[in-house]
Amino acid sequence: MDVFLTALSLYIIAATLIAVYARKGVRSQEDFFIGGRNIGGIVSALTYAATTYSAFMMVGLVGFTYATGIGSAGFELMYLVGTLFLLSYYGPKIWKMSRERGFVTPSEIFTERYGLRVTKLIAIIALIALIPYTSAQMIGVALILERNIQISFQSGIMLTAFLVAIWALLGGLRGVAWTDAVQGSVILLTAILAVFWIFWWGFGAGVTSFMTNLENAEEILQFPNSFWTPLRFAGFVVPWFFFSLTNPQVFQRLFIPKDTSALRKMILLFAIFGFIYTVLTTFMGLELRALSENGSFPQIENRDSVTPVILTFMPEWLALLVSLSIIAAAVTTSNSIILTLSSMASRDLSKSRSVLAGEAAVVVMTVLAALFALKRADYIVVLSVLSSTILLCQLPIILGIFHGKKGKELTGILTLLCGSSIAITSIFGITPPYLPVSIWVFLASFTVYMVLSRIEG
Amino acid sequence: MRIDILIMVALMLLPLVGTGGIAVYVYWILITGIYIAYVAYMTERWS
Repeated sequence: MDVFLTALSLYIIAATLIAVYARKGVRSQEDFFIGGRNIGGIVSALTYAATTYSAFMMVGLVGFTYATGIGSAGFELMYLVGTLFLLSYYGPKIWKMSRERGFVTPSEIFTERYGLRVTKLIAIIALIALIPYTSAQMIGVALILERNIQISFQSGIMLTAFLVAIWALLGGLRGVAWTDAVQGSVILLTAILAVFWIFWWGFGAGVTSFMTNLENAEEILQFPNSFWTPLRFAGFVVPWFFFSLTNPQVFQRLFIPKDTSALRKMILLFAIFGFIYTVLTTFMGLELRALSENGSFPQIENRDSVTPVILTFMPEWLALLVSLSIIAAAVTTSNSIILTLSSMASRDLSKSRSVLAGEAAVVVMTVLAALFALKRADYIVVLSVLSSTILLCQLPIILGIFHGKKGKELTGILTLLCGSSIAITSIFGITPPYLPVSIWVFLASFTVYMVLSRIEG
Repeated sequence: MRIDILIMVALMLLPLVGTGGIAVYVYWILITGIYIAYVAYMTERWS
């Protein structure tokens, strides 16, 4: 406990010092929310990666691969391929537009074409989709703190909310980006250490032993299998494939590189980070499954418990590092989301342009996410899982900006309402038949957009 | 319009017609790695 508390305190102090240093030169909302459009390629890449990859990777994806097999790697690598394409194709166009027209929030890109109401509606949909997602991250961190430093769940949420808000408040985007960069590096290094330690601990130097044990769990190596049917695979892939365009916290990251060279570096270094991290986390899931097959590791029914259980087998220093890296992954994702939502709340919803209003919005968004987390209701987890599906309704109107001139305010509003309501009503069990809900959102949004844009002109 | 993404999606979905195995996992990793290298090459003139 004492070692964990000391490490946690050092982590908090180091990140706070970085955020304080980053504070210099914040004079406008442009500085506060997008770092004055002057962030270098390496920091941009690491903040993009730390924002994208939440605690889901080290906890969710490891357990997912353990339980469902190699299809998890396929779906996560499909996400990476889609992101790389979208960033390399649309990235330079979005980056250029944001400079020429002075966009600060992701939704400002819609105002000229679709009108202010669409911009406001997108901000509201982003709040509905991402506040519960942030709350779910806070719950994860609070549970780790509850176990490691024996504080109550409520105190854990308060501490997490404080961490999420303080670095954003101290340094704005620059503070978040710099702390993300350091934490992102730690997250990747820890994953490398964990994978190598598990292999050494479980199999010695024996690749053959690993393969023999893995082959005992036949279904894990099959694709498709009873879990990864083609339809389910499509249902998972579609919202994630377009994540880089539909999720405002990563879309806004396209505004921050200082020049095209930094933008290219951001995209490529992020891709390399994501590639290594995905291979590591999915391989860790396969390693643990192989160990379960030979009896060195328990058979685990609840897939989200796979990572917490392996922590009890690791040496204390490594378990501590992995726990801290999970906290860092959750906090870096959360504070980036909070900063983006704050920019949307203060600029798109209340039309305020002062730094103080931006800071006040950070406080309000964090308190909202913490209150949701404290309620710990089942719908928070459901909504957080659905966040990318809810946000998918924006896809036709985003692509419409770059491809074609038809479609104005009415098209935008009805496309968003139709797609988001299909996703949101699925929480209450009202789901259209035969296809996964994400495919329905995709098809319905595009159909409404195509028909109405032709009528509206 | 770039067709590289259509080729990549087709290649990523190709294992759906097979029986799986660790080779599929390695295959996915390899073609994703090759795609990253391709995008790096293609965007070289940006800077």
